[in-house]
Amino acid sequence: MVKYIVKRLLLSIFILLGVSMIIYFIIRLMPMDYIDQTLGGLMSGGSAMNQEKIDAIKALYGLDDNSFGGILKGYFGWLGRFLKGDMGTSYMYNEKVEDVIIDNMGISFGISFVSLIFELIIAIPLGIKCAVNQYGKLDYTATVVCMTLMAFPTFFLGNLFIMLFADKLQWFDPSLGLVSTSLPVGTSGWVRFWDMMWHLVLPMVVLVLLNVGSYMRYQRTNTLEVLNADYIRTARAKGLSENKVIYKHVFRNTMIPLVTVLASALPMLFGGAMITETVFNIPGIGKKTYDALMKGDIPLAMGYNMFIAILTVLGILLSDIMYAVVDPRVKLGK
Amino acid sequence: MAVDKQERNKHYISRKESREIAKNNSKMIRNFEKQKKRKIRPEEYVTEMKDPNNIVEFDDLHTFFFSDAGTVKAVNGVTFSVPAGSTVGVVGESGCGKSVTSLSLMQLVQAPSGQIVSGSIRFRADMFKLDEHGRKIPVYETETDEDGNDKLDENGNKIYKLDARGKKIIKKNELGGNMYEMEREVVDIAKMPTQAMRMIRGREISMIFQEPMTSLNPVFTIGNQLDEVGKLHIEGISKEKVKERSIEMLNLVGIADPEGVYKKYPHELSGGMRQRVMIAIALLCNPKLIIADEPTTALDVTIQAQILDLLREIKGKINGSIMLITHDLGVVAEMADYVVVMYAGKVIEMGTAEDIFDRPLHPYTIGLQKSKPTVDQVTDELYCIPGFVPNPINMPNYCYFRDRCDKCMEKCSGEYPGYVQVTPTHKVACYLYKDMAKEETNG
Repeated sequence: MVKYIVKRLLLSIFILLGVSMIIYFIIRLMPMDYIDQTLGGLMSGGSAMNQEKIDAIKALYGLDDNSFGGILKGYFGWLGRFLKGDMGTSYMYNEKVEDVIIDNMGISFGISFVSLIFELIIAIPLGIKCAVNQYGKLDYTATVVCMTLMAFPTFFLGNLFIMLFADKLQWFDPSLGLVSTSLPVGTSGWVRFWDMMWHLVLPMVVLVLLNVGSYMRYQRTNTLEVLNADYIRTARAKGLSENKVIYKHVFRNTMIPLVTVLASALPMLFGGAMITETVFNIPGIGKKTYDALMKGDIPLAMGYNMFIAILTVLGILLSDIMYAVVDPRVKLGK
Repeated sequence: MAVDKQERNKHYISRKESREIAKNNSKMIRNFEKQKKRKIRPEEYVTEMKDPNNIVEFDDLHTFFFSDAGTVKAVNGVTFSVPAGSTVGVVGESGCGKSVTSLSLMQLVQAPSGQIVSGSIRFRADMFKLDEHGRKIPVYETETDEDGNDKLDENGNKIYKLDARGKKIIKKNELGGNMYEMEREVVDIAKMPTQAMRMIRGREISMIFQEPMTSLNPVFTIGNQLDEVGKLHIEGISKEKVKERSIEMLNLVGIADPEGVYKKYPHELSGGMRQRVMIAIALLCNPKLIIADEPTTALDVTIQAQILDLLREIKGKINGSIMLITHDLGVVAEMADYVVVMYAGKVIEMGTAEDIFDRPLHPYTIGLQKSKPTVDQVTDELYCIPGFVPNPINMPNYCYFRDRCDKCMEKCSGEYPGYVQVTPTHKVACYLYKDMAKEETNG
């Protein structure tokens, strides 16, 4: 087991190298870099800024040479610093990249984690119920509702909810964000906490609604498959009650594919919900990096993407390990 | 040309037909499911046996599957019985309704599409006697004299043994569980609610399935799956006792290292071992009837012989009956006292093993016999009955075997032949013997 994990971790170094190279090249190949975006506007105004100065600043940032060799050089420069533990300073926020990520991760993790818990609480029992009463009223209703919700784009459902519950009904703060503007600056403790919670309800509801469908369908399909297995017939032939058959024999078997899906949800958990955070104007890691990406902030974009890549690799490894934990037939090899 | 078209359209369901089928199916299924959900009082399913020597009587059982292609009459009027203490072999080709008959007996037909439509399955069960509150009545330990008779007090009542706290001690039965007052009841499984059926499954009737490789739950240990039955059906038994019983059963079915196997997962065992474990599970509560649904089909020949020996040995030990479902005539010849031959959902011939093997009457039975490889005959090619089992949807009302039969007569296009009682034990459904029976009655 230990040997297996070590081997997988060593292998993932190569994966991460490849990933980082691809991301770096893509960002560098974007038509507008950070300098163009922030200073380009100044040039047309007939100010002191001219092309030479811009080129000089670009050279300072290491963005001047956009040939293949230049990008490669830039990449290895970034890689060298990264390996030394220096992720650089965000152009946009003027802070160390790791600080930006760590400072903004908490809120994103909170939203995603709570949403995930709710998604599972709703999806798993509902999926089982639907499978047990296949083609029943509940099954059809749940399927239609879930499919409809899954089909909504995040920004659409998000804005719909804002319009309905915040603007029209005024149940929530229509100015969005994390804290009310009406809240006095110095407020802290429970008042502030509840105010924050109140602002997070809508985004969480949107996240849950959008994701619950896929988990529910997944659980339903798995349960159906297991329900038709021979060993379930054996369990019934033993005289076990239907509840025991379903919640012991069936559920334990549906957990095998479920944990692997859950383990691969790890990067999503820490990486933030980019679109939801942007729509609801929540300063989480998702929104921060979205803004950074739009501006061509290479250090933050690289740092964030590497963070997600590492989490993904770990998530996949975790799901493999979980597989061996829940399924006695699976043994992790060398 | 027209015939050709008709021929082709036979297997094609038009959209209109398909809609009609779906409508009919959902109506039928809804009715049957409603029937099942309704509260059924015990009086409705308690009946009487026709012959008190029987343990199971199938009486005109119909089990249908309401499929998208139409109603599949998998079991279409099956009548036979299993006498207590005997082995009954049910034989037939694949798709003849053998397994569905046995699954009906366990109420395990895959609902909602599969339903017992009519008929009854009478089973002689030992049910718990219930008091007026619906609780089981325990049997208490009593003081006895030297002869084992109950001591009586001055009022003529039994004197109960008391434990340290002054409570009456519940007597233990031979499995180490609490003893309750039992009563012998004949129940109709076809009408029984699932709730009550669960008391019979695993305790009174247990089943060994065809596929040992997939019949055990892969995520639980063998011990866990064995203990489950003990914990469920032997009330008041301690954990240690359950484990003891499970290991004893593993020992009984000839597993060399029962303690080791107890801790193993199913995938760590071979097919033969798994089938032994299945048999151990089936035996755990001393059932009165074991249904073995092709127990040896998935196993190789040497293991087959071992498993059959085991089944025979066990039958003697538990003093129960076996309903053996197989398509292997060799297995039936070796094991069965009575044989039931099924074809397309109907019993076409039944009798004692000698009747069927020495004097097979129905052309189908004769064909089955002929298609069995034998050592003492030299043949180039194995005999095979021409054709296939007919599509069980929209079955015509003439002898189903007519189109494959080499003794087909003009009469065979008439309605389905009734049974002819050839000897007191031997019955056959074929026109060939109708006249013979008539002659006998005339003469």
